[in-house]
Amino acid sequence: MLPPWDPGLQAERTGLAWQRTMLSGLTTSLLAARFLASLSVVLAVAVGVAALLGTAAVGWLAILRFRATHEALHAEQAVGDGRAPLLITILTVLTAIGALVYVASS
Amino acid sequence: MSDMPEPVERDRRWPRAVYGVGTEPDPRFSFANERTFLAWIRTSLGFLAAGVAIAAVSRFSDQLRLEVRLAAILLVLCGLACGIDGITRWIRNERAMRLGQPLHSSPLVLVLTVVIVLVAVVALIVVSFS
Repeated sequence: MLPPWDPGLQAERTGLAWQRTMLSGLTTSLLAARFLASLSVVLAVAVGVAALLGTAAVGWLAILRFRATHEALHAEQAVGDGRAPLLITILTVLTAIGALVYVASS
Repeated sequence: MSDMPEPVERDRRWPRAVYGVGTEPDPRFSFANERTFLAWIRTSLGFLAAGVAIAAVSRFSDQLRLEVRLAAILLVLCGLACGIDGITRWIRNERAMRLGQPLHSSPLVLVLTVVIVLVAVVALIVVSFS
């Protein structure tokens, strides 16, 4: 494994920011799943399973992204891409739409 | 560190409106921009959790009252706005850094503050008179 690229550990800190965002997403969606259980158990289980799978996928993506960035920095190549931020935004917007339906209905 | 060489192969990074213009900034600034984006996503998730939670908790005892429902909807809308504004800011700031322009500000912070104060007032009324 290559050593950290800079003394400020920027890539590592960004990797950790991805991890805590992933955990926030898991917490929020499991909380939503728990509250949904009073309306529909099937829906609650579906949301819970989707939350776990989504978290696993985002965690895996974050690891791949960190490794690619780390290697690119050492190879003096350009870093950054907007696809992962776009994916996270889409997941957040979908969660928001679900939350809006929940608070506006019933 | 600040003048990274342009990649030899074709740049496949997205969006092109960002990576197709200007020069590569110091990667540390791009990382900071990315972490700020992620912080906005967590803020968004916090708003969503708060909105869903107050709707769910007030439903345990009673029918969802109008003011509680309104507060919950406002919080969820703030969550939605944070999510969309987060990536918009990320794109605009990354583009500004590549072009050497000043970073943008967003009026959303003011809106969020107003909504939080409003929800706090509703919460105060609900806990005082129930």
